[in-house]
Amino acid sequence: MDLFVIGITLILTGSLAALVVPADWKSRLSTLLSAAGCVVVMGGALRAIWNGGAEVRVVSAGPFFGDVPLVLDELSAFFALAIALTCLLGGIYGTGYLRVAPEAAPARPERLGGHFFCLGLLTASMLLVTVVQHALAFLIVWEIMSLASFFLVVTEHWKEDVVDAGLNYLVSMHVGVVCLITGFLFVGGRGAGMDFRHFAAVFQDPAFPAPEIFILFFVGFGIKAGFVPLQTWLPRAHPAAPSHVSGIMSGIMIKTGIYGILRVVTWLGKPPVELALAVLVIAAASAVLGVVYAIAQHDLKRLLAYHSVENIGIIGLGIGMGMLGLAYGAPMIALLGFAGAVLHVLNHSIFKALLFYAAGAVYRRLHTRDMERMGGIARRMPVTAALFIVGSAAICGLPPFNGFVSEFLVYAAAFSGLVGQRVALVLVSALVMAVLALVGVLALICFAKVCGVAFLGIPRQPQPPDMRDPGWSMRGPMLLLGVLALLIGVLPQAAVGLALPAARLLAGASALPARLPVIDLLQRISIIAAGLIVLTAGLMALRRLLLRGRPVETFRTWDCGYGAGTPRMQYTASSFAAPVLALTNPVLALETKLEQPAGFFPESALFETHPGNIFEAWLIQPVVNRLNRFLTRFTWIQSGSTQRYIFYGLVFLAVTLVWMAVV
Amino acid sequence: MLNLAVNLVILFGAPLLFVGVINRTKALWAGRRGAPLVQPFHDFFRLLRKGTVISDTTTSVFKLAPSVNLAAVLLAGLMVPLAGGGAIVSFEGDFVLFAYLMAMGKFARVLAAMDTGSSFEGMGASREVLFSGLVEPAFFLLMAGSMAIAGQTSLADALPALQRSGGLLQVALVLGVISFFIMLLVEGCRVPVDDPNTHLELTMIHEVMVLDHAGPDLAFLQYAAALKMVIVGALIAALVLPAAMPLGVSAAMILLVLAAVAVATGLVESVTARLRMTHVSQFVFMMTSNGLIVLAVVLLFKFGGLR
Repeated sequence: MDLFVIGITLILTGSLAALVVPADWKSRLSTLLSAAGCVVVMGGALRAIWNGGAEVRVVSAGPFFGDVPLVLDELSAFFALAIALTCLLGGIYGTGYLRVAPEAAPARPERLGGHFFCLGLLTASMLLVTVVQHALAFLIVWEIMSLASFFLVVTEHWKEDVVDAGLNYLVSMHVGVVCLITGFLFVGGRGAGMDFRHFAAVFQDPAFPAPEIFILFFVGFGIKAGFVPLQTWLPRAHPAAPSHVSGIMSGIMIKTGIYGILRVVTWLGKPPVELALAVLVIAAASAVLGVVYAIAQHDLKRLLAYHSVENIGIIGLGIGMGMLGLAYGAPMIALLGFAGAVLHVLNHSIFKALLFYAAGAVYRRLHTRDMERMGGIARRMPVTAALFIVGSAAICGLPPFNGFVSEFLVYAAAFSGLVGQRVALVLVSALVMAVLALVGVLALICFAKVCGVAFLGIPRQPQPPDMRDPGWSMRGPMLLLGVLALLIGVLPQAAVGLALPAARLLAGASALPARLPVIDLLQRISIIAAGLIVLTAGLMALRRLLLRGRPVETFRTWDCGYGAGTPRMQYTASSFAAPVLALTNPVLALETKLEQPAGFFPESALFETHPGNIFEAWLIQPVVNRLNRFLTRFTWIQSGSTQRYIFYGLVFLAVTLVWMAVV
Repeated sequence: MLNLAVNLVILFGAPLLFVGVINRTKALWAGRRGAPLVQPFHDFFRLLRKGTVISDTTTSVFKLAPSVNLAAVLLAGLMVPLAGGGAIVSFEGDFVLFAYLMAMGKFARVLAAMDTGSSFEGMGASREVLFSGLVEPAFFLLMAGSMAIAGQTSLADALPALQRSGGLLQVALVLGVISFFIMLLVEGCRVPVDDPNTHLELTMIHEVMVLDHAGPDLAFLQYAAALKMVIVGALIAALVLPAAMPLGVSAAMILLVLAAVAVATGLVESVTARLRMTHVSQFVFMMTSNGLIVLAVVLLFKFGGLR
């Protein structure tokens, strides 16, 4: 716990320093302090997981708050580890990125102080969210996190769509906070007060409407996490933010919502089966719809944002299987489900951050996020392209990378349910397996499209002459993340060992053996993953041997004798995705613009498709429109006249005095 | 030890022979004498002796992909039950690793195709990812059904479980065999999904993805494609053959089943025409619906008391 506090203090010092030191030192000093703080926090978290149990420190915060407990248990420690790792690498990447990023161009270096202040504040508040166990303090730290990330999203505040996206994000977050406040008020009103440690008793009281309040908390935290249908802020905010902020937000900030949901699960005890099924349905919908929408996008960062929705769905499937295991009294299923969900939090933060950082490196050179204008990046930026392909393989869950390990754990929860004796469990497990497989397939389609169209092939537009791999401050974090993805994939035992204590906490550790059979399975997976790498190397060596002394020529790609191929003849991203989109058309709301070639010698033709979002079109937009129409009736209140505002103040004072006199 | 040796011989030797049997069947059906059964072996070694031409738009992804593909398919093949009642590598949940290794091979192939910057390969890649992708959920549904009956969660132990007596389960068995046969047609890129004999636009799925590969790369890719067919054939064999047989008998039976499947594939290729692209998805969805029916049948058998 002490390490934790020291770490947070360092991070906060760094963020304050960003405001006061001279311009040249701002980014370096702030990032250095922040990185040091993150390393210290990681050390503290690792030590806490190693020791087991919960470290508690109660901070006395005056008469208003009372005693604020800071609890670092296995769940908090794991999330803190993931947060610290992501923010550490994100900060280092951000320093390099902002130096020459298109977003920072109009801003002078001294104005970046506010940016680094918010970055440090975001890191510290995320870390505090995992340990604070006092309702009011939790809400305050949560709110600071939302505000800090809001200011980071609107870094490019001179662009209207960026501010739009930021405001959308802010409003969505506050809708979530309203749900959370209501939930906490409900629980607090039942005598638990503010201390989280008393909430479990309240939730497990039979007279308490635990499922309904769980749903309230689920909605509140779920908006932050990005579950369908309330995920509409995600695909707007993440492309609008600068790349290092997108990486941090998509990599770990949405996971604080998952942390909140898991914390509520620890209070629930034994959830009813219907609740687990509801979570599974929402998670499955998020996973499938997230990836389907991702396939339709041609903006690189928006596509990655939708993939975050998909992966949150996968994490939700793990949580759902865990809750199902708890509901049916099957501790092994619960353990595997929660372990998969928790480990996927870490894995996703690794490969999603990697993907966003690589996308940022590309954006910085090409000044466009539109995949249809890219192509052939791998020839000029081989390291970035290689790392992006590694991240893509990881996010599709392909061995030998880390995505496979966490998905395997969720599959393990499902097939443990299959060999049981309950009909409902067998049926649900089978369907969960099919949904996971479908999601994996669609993710593969999407990333084959992205890698193939953007990074491979021939450039569709002329590339700038200064296009090359980024410097070490950007390359370093990306390389480290890539290596981590490979390492966790080939040696999963260590990472799963970190996630298991949290999973045991969630699954109720009592009924489980000390040595789990799943560890042996991981051993086999590890051997085969390593075998894949070794066998590939062997085959490459064989190939080189076979080609020795034989003619190896270079020629242009086979073009059926046409001889005048242009880059525009390559398959486009929309064409690649077209077969899938044809199948999923009803959900997509694709806007198509088509001008057919006319006449005998047509001069021009036009075909454009833009993917919409049915949740925005049918769910959010009508509500917002109706609210707008209602609230415009009250615009007369904001007359702009100072006298009238003073009059409002006087009226308020008068009414308050009268009320206090009467009551 | 002998078990391992026999299995490895089957795994490495059968694919090219499988292709030979298919080609011979098609030739005989068409009234020709056809090439010798071992012709694919001659082609394979001829390709290995050749040099190669690399497209100048490609990167090292293009050079790596055939090796990654073959390595992934080989490792997946290790988990398939062969002779002697068990796979070379078998553990709980290995079918997940099996499916994702095949997907890794597919990812590598598709990236190599997109690397060439040609519209032909792009077309093939786009169709390949969809059609072979639609097979995955169906495969998992079939595995789920088998595991629910078997009470075991590895490929080698779960698949033979559908043979158990009980009229209802025979239905599931037949549907399972049909589904795996459809999977073979998709993975092996055979008519009615794709035409292995042409590279024309109408039939551009797998054959067009390998247009720019030559020499050892092409040999690796073709061998991997044949190996995939043998793998799915072995899955069919696991469904229909009894699990516990002595090694010699088991090996002979597996080779017999593989030959039968190859002949069946050849007959299907000779008799049917290639489907329209839009109808191929519907064809592959047949596998998904079969999987759902198998799951329903298994649930009725296990919990509904229906026999």
